[in-house]
Amino acid sequence: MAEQTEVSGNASEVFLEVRNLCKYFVVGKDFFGRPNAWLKAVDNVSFKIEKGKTLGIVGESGCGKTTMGRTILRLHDVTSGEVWFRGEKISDLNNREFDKRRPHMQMIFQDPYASLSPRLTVGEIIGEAARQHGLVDKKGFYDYVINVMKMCGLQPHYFERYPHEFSGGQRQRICIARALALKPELVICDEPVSALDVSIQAQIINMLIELRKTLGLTYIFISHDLSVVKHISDEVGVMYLGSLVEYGSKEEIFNNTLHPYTKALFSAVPVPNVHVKMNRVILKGDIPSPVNPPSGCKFHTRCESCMSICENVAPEYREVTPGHFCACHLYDPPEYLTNASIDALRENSESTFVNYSDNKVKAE
Amino acid sequence: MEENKEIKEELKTEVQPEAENNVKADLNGESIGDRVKALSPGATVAKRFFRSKLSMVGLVTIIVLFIFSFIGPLISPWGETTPDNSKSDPMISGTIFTYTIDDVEYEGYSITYDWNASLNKLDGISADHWMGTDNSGYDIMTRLMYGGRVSLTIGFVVIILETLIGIVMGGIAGYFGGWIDNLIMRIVDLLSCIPTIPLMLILGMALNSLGLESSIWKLYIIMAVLCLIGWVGIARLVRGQILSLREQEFMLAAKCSGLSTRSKIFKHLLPNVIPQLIVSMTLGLGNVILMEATLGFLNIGAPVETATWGNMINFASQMQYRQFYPNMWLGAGICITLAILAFNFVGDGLRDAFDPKMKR
Amino acid sequence: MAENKSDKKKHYISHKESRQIAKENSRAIRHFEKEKKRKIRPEEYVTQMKDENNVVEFEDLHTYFFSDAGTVKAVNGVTFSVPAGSTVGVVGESGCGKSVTSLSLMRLVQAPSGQIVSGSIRFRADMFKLDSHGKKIPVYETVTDENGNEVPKLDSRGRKIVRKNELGGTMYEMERQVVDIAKMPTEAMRTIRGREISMIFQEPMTSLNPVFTIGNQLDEVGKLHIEGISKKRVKERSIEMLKLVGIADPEGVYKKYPHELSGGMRQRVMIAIALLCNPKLIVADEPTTALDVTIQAQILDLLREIKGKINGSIMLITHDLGVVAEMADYVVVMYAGKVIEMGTAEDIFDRPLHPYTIGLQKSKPTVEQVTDELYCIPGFVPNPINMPDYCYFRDRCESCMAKCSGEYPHYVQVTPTHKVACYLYENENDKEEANG
Repeated sequence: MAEQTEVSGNASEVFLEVRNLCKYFVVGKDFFGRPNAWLKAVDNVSFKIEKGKTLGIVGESGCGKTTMGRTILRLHDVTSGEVWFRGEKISDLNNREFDKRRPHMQMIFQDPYASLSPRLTVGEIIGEAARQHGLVDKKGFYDYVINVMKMCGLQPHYFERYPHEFSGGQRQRICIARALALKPELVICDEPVSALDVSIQAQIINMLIELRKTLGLTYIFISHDLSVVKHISDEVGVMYLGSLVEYGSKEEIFNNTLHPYTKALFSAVPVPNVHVKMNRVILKGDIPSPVNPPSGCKFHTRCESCMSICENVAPEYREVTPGHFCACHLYDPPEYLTNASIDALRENSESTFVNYSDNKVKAE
Repeated sequence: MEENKEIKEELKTEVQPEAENNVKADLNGESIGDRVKALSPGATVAKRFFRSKLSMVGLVTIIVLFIFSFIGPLISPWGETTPDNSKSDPMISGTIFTYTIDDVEYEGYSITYDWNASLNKLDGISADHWMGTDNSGYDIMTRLMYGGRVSLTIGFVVIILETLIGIVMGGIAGYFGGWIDNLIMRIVDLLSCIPTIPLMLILGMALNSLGLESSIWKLYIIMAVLCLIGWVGIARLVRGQILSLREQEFMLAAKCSGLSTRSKIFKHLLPNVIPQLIVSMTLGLGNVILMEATLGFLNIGAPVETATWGNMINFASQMQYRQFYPNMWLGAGICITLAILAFNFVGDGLRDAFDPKMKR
Repeated sequence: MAENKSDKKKHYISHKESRQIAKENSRAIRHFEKEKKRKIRPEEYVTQMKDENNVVEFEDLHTYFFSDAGTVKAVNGVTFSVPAGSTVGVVGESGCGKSVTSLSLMRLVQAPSGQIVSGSIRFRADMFKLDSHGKKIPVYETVTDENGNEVPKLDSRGRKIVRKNELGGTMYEMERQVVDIAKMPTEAMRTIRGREISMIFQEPMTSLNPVFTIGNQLDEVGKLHIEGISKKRVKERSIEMLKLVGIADPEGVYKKYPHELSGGMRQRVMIAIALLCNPKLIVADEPTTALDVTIQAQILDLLREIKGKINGSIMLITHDLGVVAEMADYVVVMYAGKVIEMGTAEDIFDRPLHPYTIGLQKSKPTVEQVTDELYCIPGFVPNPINMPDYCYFRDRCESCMAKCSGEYPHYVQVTPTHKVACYLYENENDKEEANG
């Protein structure tokens, strides 16, 4: 443990690190009010981002990608695991201390209609938090807000208007302006364009990329849309039922896809080209409920290349090629199966937790 | 179908001059998105409210009642407790009697001035008394006006106090949750177990025995107690609203920006509850007026001398007045009904106006 | 700040304008509502198709919403047709009127503020033949007697036996009629909705009633539209449909409540309901927007498969170009209440002409290609109130010319299948004049 702390304590290298992050929601309680059923929304997720890079998180609804983003920002309490931000373990801070650091980490929400308070003017929405955090005084308030608005492509005379007068795209710009008014370093974009029209999507994405360049932002870009994630990200993580199933650089993920789920996800995206009738992998069935995830590999119920081992043993999340992580038995090293019987593996699967951290340290 | 086309043509011609203006505006550098004028949020609500005829009727009735109660007494020649003594000269009844002093018989007169008989009481409808006079010779019309003052003032004061307590308690319960929520909601549950009318009866007796029988303070105290048990409904409403608002994304965004609790409650949550509050306040006003009337009818509200609609309707409880003098209590009854109906109409209209899902 | 105040005044509708709008609205609404209540004779709405191959023809359809802020011309002169047995994709951004077009077809536009103002929607329907009393005429079983004449077959009690149709309901004499849905009376519309045209909505979560079982809701539609069907046959038909939409355990699902099913399953159930009466046309309004990509792939696959099985057409409304490219034979691109370009899928995706169609295709990032910066159409979708008379796309267009400020461009027939409303292509085909 001590070794780990040292590694990530080096602030100059790691901007944000998430270690074994878990977020369980209690969904059932027994007669005495003790929880007896959990929804494992985020289960043992780990990754790192360097400053100025963009991490794309892809997955279907219910895979925990939104919860993960919110848990990093402590909008939900962390069940277990650690979050390190610029060499500081922010997952343990108390609320008051954490509130002081909030300006550095901001979030853009999915629904531009629900995420703006309907009875505040645009100026108030954007500038309120900046005032409170002392980034600007009363005198400079108007100019400060106008400045941020211009940066996000909003006209100055919107200052006095109410959000309901704007279209989705403009509202999303207001949301982005609200986040940027606090001069953040990390912005978690939670499906920022999925509620918008295609022509507006492109505008917002271009603006986000432009802002990343000029302000040196780091993004975690959460989306279900693979093409958007591919466009904006440097690294990509694919989530399924609360866990990362594949993680690596964009080129690796898109050109050298490993996990069967990622492959199916890629092939399911409709292509706006009439001549590409590709041989599509259509997954059978629905996404299982995260309250009762399937045993063994969570994906085995829908997997095309499901083996008998998959039903019983959870695959280890391991580095298959340098920088490319994957949790699938297809990529188990050959000695893995010969060394142990299935039963032994089942025991082992309970302790993948520990295994994983060891691997990670060794890899570095 | 031809008519159809006509309408279409008309629409087109009506729209066109606007469109030309807009082209100019566009050339002045305004983007196409700004070309269209929007309805301000207030105007949208007002528009929907005024579209409903019933709520307009209610609003007009309320305004008339207010003018009647607050300006009427200034015009009326009579006062709240000035009896009409104009009926005739005081009746003098005299008797001759004899008395003896020292065995000498004297005759003497005994003269009784009966002032009561001079009262113009239980008078019918006349030019002087538009609704007659009551058993004390007071002008009923004027007393209706004064009664309106008391009823409406009490209505507003009680409902505002109730709402204030309700907002604070419900707001705290909804926002903080946990054991605070539990505590407040159990208090609310307890308070809603108390039966109002028996409590008021007991309280009225107790205050009478404390010597407050003819003091207006009796009414004030009773109303204060009403406030203390009446806030529970508002508290429940506010709590429910805040619980659902708290889960909205804009509250997450507020939390994410690290806003202070005060600003989250007062700038983000409460303004969103206000529409519902206004509606429940308007609907509640009618209830308070009705409560006051009930108390008056049961003779436990204001002192008998004070004119309130409730006290006036109390006459109906006495056989001879109910049967022969309907002018004494009917006016108060109509006023109460009108006020309650009007507040309910306005409340309903406001609820529909504030509801964004209402299509018409 | 003073500047802001004056701007605010200019920005909001004044009292006077607002009153003016309200007056006009109530006049227009009264007119159309009266028109709806009027008794309409069949002669008024029975028409002829322009092309016999089409199932539906929209012609110059105008559907307006009389709102407090002004008249919203949600559908402003839409002309296109759905050929039999094909899939037509209607694409456009939110607010372009694609959904209102489909609702107009079903006559489900939110009244009283929304009204079909003019235009026609011609639909080739199998209508019930009515006798002189206005009743449907049943068809009886016949047998050939010894003389070779066809006589009605009688049951043991000497009554005529009604013939059953292929769905198990009473067979009535039908006649093929072309009706104008925009002018049809509301009651007659009821026999078309669900039976001839059925609709699949966007939100599978809210389009099923949560208090009834799936079976209940399927049976209800069956009983309503297939007259004289037996209870047993309805259930069989429901289960048959559930099987057809790829539900593995149809008997189990039949007994379940909607909340027990996932989004994808519910959408399958919705499709089953839509297919129940063998409709000629299925209107799918964003059927996969609320679903995940992997589930979307399943549903699209299912829709394609079903189209092959039933002999019908699909009108697919979506904002996703990818979905259209995969599903549609013909594509209609809408923008701000008008059709700006239409043609076969190859026309639209290989040779897009209108700058908006081109921009839309370029602005969507794809998994295959890597681009540094996405192309984006500047500006916003215009607010549909008080539309100007020039091309609605003028302010966002890169190839805008002086001509574009003139009147709205006419359609240019580029190839026999491909039409576009843009001045850029007007010179090439001078002789082919305004077609719509």
